[in-house]
Amino acid sequence: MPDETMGPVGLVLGSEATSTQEFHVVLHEDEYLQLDDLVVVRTLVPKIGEVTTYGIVVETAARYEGTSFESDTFRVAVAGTLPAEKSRTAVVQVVRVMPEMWIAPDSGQPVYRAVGEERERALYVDEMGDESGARALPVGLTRDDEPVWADVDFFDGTKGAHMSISGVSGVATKTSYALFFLRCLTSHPEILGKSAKNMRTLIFNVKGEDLMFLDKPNARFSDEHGAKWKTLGMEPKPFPSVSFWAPSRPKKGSEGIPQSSARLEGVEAFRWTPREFVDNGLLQFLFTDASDSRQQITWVAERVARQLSRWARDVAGEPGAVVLRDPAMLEDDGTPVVAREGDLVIRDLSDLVEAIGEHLEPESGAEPDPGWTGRVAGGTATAFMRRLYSSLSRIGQLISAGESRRIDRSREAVTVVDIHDLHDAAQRFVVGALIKEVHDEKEGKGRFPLSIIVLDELNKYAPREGWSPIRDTLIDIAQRGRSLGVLLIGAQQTASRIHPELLSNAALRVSGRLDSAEAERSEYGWMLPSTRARARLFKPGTMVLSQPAIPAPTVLTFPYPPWATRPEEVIEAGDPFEGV
Amino acid sequence: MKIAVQAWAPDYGSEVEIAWDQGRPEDLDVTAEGVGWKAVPAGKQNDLTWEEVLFIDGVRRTDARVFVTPEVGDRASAGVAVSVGVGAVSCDIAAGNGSPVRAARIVEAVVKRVVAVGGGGELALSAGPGLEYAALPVAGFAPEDLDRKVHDVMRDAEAVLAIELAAAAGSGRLVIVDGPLAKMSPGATAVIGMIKSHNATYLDEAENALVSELECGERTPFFYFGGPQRPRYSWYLRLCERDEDMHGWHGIVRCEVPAAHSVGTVSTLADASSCLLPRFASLPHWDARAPQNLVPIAGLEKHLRHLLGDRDLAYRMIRSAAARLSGGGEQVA
Repeated sequence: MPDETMGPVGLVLGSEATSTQEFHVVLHEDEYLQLDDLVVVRTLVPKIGEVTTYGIVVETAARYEGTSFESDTFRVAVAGTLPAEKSRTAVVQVVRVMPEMWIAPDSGQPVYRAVGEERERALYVDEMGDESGARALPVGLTRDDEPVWADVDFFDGTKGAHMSISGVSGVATKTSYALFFLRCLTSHPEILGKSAKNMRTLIFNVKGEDLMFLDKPNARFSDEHGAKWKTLGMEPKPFPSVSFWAPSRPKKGSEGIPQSSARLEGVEAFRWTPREFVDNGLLQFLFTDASDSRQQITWVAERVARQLSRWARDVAGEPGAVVLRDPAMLEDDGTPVVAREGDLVIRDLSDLVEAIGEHLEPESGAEPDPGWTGRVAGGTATAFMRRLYSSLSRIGQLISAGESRRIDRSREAVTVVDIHDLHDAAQRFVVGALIKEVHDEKEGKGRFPLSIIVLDELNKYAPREGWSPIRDTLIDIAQRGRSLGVLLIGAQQTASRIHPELLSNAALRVSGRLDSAEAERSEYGWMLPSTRARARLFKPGTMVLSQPAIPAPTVLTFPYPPWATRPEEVIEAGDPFEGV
Repeated sequence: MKIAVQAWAPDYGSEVEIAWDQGRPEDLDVTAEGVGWKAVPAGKQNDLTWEEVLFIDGVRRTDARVFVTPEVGDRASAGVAVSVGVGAVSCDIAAGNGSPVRAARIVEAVVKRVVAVGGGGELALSAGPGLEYAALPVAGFAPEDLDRKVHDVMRDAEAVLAIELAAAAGSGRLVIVDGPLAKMSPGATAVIGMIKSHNATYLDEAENALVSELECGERTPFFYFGGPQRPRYSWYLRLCERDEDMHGWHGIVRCEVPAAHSVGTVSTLADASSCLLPRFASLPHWDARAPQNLVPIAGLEKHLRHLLGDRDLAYRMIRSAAARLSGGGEQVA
């Protein structure tokens, strides 16, 4: 039942025909409706009974009724000579009809604000979930600070997976919303059920240092912000379980010290040993530039990677280092070999490049080893080597022998990997290596526990045009992630520049402010025309969410984070100078 | 020779269609105001003592024509089903003066529906919800008789409303009725009739010359005429700038008040009219009867026509009601 104690806000307009898609409301003098408000109308249908129509306000209007000349406005409002009624109306898009009889609401019926249960029904909350439990996860607030829900079934892989977030940069909402959404997921284990168990999240800190303080309380967080979190049924707390990783410093003596300008304490250094590099087939991620795919270089890379995994042998006494031994000469029994005089022990990327060079560009001037080059033209092998050399300065710091410094994603619920200080090529290397790791780890193991990957600037990793090994992995995750249990929260400035598979497979789509030209593109066809027009004007913190469970996209805001997003917001546990 | 095209749209008749040979009323007195026969300048805003000015107007529409054959006898008579709307708009007395004012608002709007039947025929039609036509017997049989009777219904309703509104709030309201005053009731202190078009002249040629020369807001001195039935004071007033390309009577209205008023009161009312009415005048592109069809009155008429409802629907409902009545054998006296 509509809350009739509140009284209707207006009547279904009768001077224009209603339809099953849309109707207009003429408002009472002392009432108002604003965009995104939810309303409910009941119509008595002959032979059927009462049909309830739920709708969302998509436009509002006001005019002087009965005026026909522009100048009449002056006659009415300034001169006071022409009598005219001020009429205010709202356009309502139908979102639901109960029972499902597609019948237009009757003209003249009272229109009520949908509140409480009615509001939840307008937002299909009653349809989210089954006998085993409710699956409606609060994921934001409407303008009037009421919760908006998403059906978790469409994120965790039950019915759909992945989230795609678009919006212009600089408004800092894409990553913020992704984190807020993560916090919603982790704060409501009762809604997530078995999906919540051992769920692991991998986040790449691509820009700035925003994500390096997820575990620290925010000094600017106020009670007012807190109230909004409470509305969503969440304690406003920073992420409880986070590990932070930054690349190991390049200088020899600084091995094991994280290269992180934002934060020193609580950050661990990561890099791969040559052994891990070979075993995980990371060579391919040295060739992620779009131009690499055009020159058969990736083909050579595949060949070389296979040879490396056949030839590489551990070195006794040097953990992580390898030497290359021809498997035809010495059978690999898995035991470390002792380095001989003149052996090239591969301790870092430059050693590796040199070792590969011995086969592809022998110093003696002999022909390249066809076992390694696959008989490509000499020029291709040279191009391959040239690229390898050029990757030394960019990616070299990430490969070094010694104890393993792999990123341990199992340690905490959330793993933040800081790559913002790295060269573009190194960023792609890290992202590619880790995404492949997550992907391979889940392959053939069933959905649970779930792995979530949060990746900004998705257009860089899975562009619409061109090929790269990362793009392939991402497309595979997009397509099969539901069954793999790997869920992608991808963010990009422009949805039109990422591979369509990533968009079409994302069940939840979110958009912040859009560039006007971008908003016109078909990638945003899921928005209502009115929402599209408005997307150009969204303020930071305003997003529009589309989900399969609700036929109309919902405009929402999300509360200020209780975690710090920059050093000056951090509240430290104690005074560092205490006792000095 | 000078030819001027009349300003009103042809469908609305003519603002001036005077039968010059009709002759001067015998009791005409052009010295009533005692200021000499010359233009009187517009009244002053500061002299206005009312708070609001009300404009009253009516509209009528023929919904259907009927023909009534009685059970007994063969004197069939024609009739018309007519909807009449009468209402009032209230404007701030300062409206149109440039200062910020309260918006014009419709304070009264009533709809009456009648079936006028010639030969004293009494027929009431209940055509549907909101479409109740009251019986209006008319003595004669001529179409003009019916027309006049229906027109009287509207004029009477206007007059009643005017007196009611003017009396209700004492001196706070000045009432302008669109058209001649139907009731020359002396009780109503501040009611002015405003006649938009002219088909009779009351003055002689020399006196009429002054009308043609009036500038915007100027009026003639008021004059007395009307005989024992409708004794009144009247004056001519120009609502718009005089245009050399137009005929001399363009934008002229004639106002009248009951002769029961004292000369001093008439003078105040006449000055008020010349101060106020030009402000409410309409523009040629805005109204087909500009400037005489005042803006508030045009707005009111639009509203009233709207209240009369859909004409085609009324017509169909009357047809079915007539069929019901004929079938049911209901009597027409």
